[in-house]
This record gives sequence, structure tokens and C-alpha cells, in this order.
Amino acid sequence: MRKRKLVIFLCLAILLVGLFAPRLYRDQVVDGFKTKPAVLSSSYLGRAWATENGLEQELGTESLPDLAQAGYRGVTGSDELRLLARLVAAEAGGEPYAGKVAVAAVVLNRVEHPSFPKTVSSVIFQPGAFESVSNGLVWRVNPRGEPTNAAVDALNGWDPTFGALYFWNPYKPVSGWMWTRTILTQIGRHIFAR
Amino acid sequence: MKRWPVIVLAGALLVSVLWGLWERQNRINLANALEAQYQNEFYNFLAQVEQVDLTMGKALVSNFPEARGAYFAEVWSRAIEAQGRLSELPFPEVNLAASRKFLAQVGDYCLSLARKEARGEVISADDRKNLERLRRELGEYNQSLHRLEESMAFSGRAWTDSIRRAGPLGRAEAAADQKDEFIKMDNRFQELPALEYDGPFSDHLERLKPRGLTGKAITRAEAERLARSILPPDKQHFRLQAGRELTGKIPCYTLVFQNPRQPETIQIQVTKTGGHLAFMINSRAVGGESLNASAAVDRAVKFAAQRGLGRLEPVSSLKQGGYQVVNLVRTSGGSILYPDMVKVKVALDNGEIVGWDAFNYLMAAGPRKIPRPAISVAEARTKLHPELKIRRVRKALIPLDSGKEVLCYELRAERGPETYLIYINARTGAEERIFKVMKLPQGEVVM
Repeated sequence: MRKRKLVIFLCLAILLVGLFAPRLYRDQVVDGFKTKPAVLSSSYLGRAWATENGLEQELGTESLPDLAQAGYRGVTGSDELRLLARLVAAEAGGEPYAGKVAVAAVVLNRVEHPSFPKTVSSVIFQPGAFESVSNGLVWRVNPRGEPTNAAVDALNGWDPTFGALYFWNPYKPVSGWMWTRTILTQIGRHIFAR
Repeated sequence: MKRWPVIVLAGALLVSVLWGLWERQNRINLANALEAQYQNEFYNFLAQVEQVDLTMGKALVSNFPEARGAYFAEVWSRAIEAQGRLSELPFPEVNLAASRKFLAQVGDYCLSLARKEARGEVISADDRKNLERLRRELGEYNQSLHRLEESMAFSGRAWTDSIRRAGPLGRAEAAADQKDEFIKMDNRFQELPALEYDGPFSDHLERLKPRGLTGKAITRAEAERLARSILPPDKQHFRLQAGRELTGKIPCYTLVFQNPRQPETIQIQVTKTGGHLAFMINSRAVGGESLNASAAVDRAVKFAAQRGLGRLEPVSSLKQGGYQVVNLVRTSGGSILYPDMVKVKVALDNGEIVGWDAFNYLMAAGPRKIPRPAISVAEARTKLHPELKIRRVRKALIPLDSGKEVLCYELRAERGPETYLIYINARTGAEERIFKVMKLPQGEVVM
């Protein structure tokens, strides 16, 4: 009797592992450099909404960025701030603070550049533009704290790269086209280029 | 006794197969929804490019300035729309930056021509030549897109093919045709001559040189000393880390200071020419607030003076979280010089300067001649809509999208509960710009 129970248990265990392994795997390989994988939760949408509301309370209306004086960026409102903070958390979660500001600034520099879409959301969701959007990490991160502060700073006009349009991690394979860009600087593990 | 494991395994297999089928159906549904989206973008893109071509043709033959102005404005909206649609299509490992830039420039250029028409200026022979040239390129683009549409429609290729993961037998040769056509055109666009005009996407803006980089070249050691001198006394023990230099329009030394005990880093960028403080950001989180806004503004003004920028005028300030962000500008002869702006971030717990951005200032603040106004304040007042109540007038030099600067009267006016800033050109009396002022509890935001 005992043996039978053991067999049943093993079968169920194998089945469960088979069901959930791909999901865990996907969460972990998202970025080889993120020491703390964002959230190992399978219900990421629920998670996303929870942090979204938390952020709302934390920021209130205080998050509205200064616009015209911020170099005429033409960027509005706290909705875009939340989105930007999320991207910063996903793309530069383990980066130094200046690196986070720079990633947010890249998005805003793109909005102003003729080669890119003309709103923050379409820059962020441009197909293939950001790895964390393609693999869904952007919906699982917590944007509170530094990512949000960095996004606010960038919306206010701060940009340590003075105009970067691209960034990539030189320790990971990227398309050769990237390396034809003019490199401006490196902050943390990201090269910034125009 | 031995049948149990078999039954359990068979059950597990059945569940797995059912689950697989269910997932497969889900995948197909998602792929269909996405494919429909992409196809929609693609066909809308084709239609918009065609319309840009048509409308440009109409603008070229129309002999009535008002009608031409409207056609040019239509070209702008359709070209920007086409650029947006193209950005929504997936091209893995291909960057169609030149194609998107071409479309955005065509639109932006035509908008500048629409503005010219509205001002009653003549479209020059050069402009017509430019238009003809752009239209030729557009015609080529159009044809290549139609060839592509045809081949895609017949081959049954899908946009979503390009997103599929490579199987064990290698990547399916997906969507090669559509990529090729687009790449061919993009290479063509990369070769186009520069287009210069009065607009934000004009090529001359890429080549602007900083006008405020005065002084001699400094060494890294000097930059380090300068950066240290900016740190407050209680942060002198911070460890200096190697930071990679910044190249580009304003080359800088990058100095990164790390608090040895807490997670606090300060990144400071000092220009290689002249050793100007160009950029600073401190990651420190602030505690309770002890400063009010006006004290923070005073700190910012003092800090700028210590950097050798003289007495700057605070033009706006906004409280954000535990920080006050203050915008300071130069003034000259009673005029506010908006292009010469620095931004200062003050921590409200102890008044420390935790952020500094002088990029705009260093780009703009050169020696300049400010023109004399040709119209008086009283005349400028008459230019406003009669519904507006004027609250304040001052002279201000403002930057335009085209990179030019114009001297204006800045009229702060109210219409009912709404407040606006209206900029009247002090030489021509034309209205250059309108901002809406949003009064928030944290300060004023201009949109």
C-alpha cells in the first residue's frame, strides 16, 4: 500500500513540475544579470495591478512632472510616469541610479527623434525595442522607489548621456547594427549610444 | 496491485495531451489576434504613404496659398501617422530608423511649409526642389510597398512568423521577402542628402555645437578636484569610482562617488573644456521634510552662483516627493533667457543639492545679441484675444523647435479659471507660442 501511494505521489509530482517548469524557467532567464529576479509569481497580472495601485497611493498627484521647463519634452501626466518607471525597473533594475535615469532618458529622447514613435507608450511598446517588453518582465517588476525616482528625474530633463537613443548590455549578444552607432558612454552594465 | 501505476500514468498522459491541445488553441487565438493587428497596421501604413504622395502632388499644383497650406498640413498628419504605423510592425533584428526618419521629416518639413503659407511667406524655389525630390523618393517607396503587399498576399506569409521561436530544426525562413524590401528602401533612405528647414526634425539640429563651453581643457585630476569641491563636507570620505567618460556634444569626465556605508551614489559630470559642472545626480532617498519651497529655491540660486553662473533667476519650481526641482535662467537687460536654463534638485530634508543639469545652459549660453523690441508692451497687449485678462508682462527670449531663439513678450493671462502664458514676438508682433499653466499644490506646471 505504501509503495502505491509513493508511485502516485511521484507521478503527480512529475506532472506538476512539467506544468510549472517553463514558467519558472522563463522568469529566471529573463536577464542574466539581475541578481534578484523580479517576482517569482505566476499570476503576474494580479501582481502588476497591485503594485500599480500601491504606486498610485504613494505618488498621488505629486508625481506630475514639470513639462515645458524640462526642455520642452512634450510629455504629460502620471500615467506615462508609471509606464516609464516600470520599464526602468525591468530594463535597469540592478543598475546604478544614473543608469536608471539614463534608460528613462533614452525613451524620452526617442520621443523627440524622427526615427522613433512620437509618444512614450509607443516607444516603449515598439515591437522588439525593449527585451523586457518582449519577454513580459515589464509586467512583473515593482517600479517603486529608485525606478520611479529615476523616471521622474528623466521627465524633468535629467539625462546623464546628453542624448542617447540606444542602450545595450555589451556582455550579451546584440545585433551588429547596434555597434555601428556612436557610443557616448557606459554606465554600469549598459552602453549608451546615439 | 500493479495496475495502479499504469492507470495513473495513462491519466497523466491524457491530462498532458488535453492541456497541450488547450494551450495550442490559446496560442492560435493569440496569434490570429496579433496577426490581424499587424495586417491592419500594414494596410493602414500603405494607405497613408499613398495619401502622403497624393497630397504632396496636390500641394505642388495648387496655386492658392490657403489651399496649399491645408494640403501641407494634411501631408504632415498623414506622414506622422504612417511613421507611427511603421513603428508598430515587427522587424526582428532590423532597424528601419532611416525609413521612419524619412517619413517624420517629410511630415515635419511640410508642416513648416504650411506655417510659412500661414504667415504669408512665399514657398521658395529651393523648397519646391526639395518637395520634388522627397516626392520622388516617396514614389519609389510606394511602388516597393505595393510589390511587397502583392507578394505577401500571394505567399500567405504572416507578420507573426517573425516572432516565432526557432524550433529544433532551426529557424523557419520566415518573412524574408518583406524584410528585404524594407531593408532595400531603408538603405536608400540612409543615403539621402540632409534636409534643413525650420522644424524640430531638421538635420541641422544634429550638428548644433555647444555655445557655453568656455575655458581651457582640463585634466581628469582637475575634474576630480572640482567634483570633490562640490560634495558637502560630510561626504568627503565617499569613495571615488571609475566612471567612463562621456563623448558627444559636450564631452565630460564622469566621477562617481559611493557612500561606503549606505546605498548612496553621486554621479558628477564635469566638462573636459573649462571644467563646468554639467550634470549631477544623487540617488539618496530623503527623510522628513524640514525646508519649505522658498528656502529650497534660495539654496538652488546660491549653488548656481557658487558654480560661477552669476545671479540666476528662478522661473519655476515644483515639489516632487521630498525634493524641490528648481529651474533657473539667465537674465539680460530685463529679459528672461529661457534657453540658458539650469535645473537644480534640492533635498527638502537638509537642503542638500542632489541634482544639477546644465546641458541646455551649456548648449545655449554663449555671447548673444538680444534684439531691441520693435513693438511696445502696449502694442503686444493688443495682440491678445479680448477675452483674456492680462496679469503680467515681461520680456523673454524663448527657444523655438527649430533651434532658433526669438525675443518675445511673455504675457501671463487668465481666461476664467484657466491661466496661460502667451508669447508675442517683440519684433513682428506674431504669436509664437502658448503654454497652459497648471496650478498644482506642489507648484506650477506648464504644458
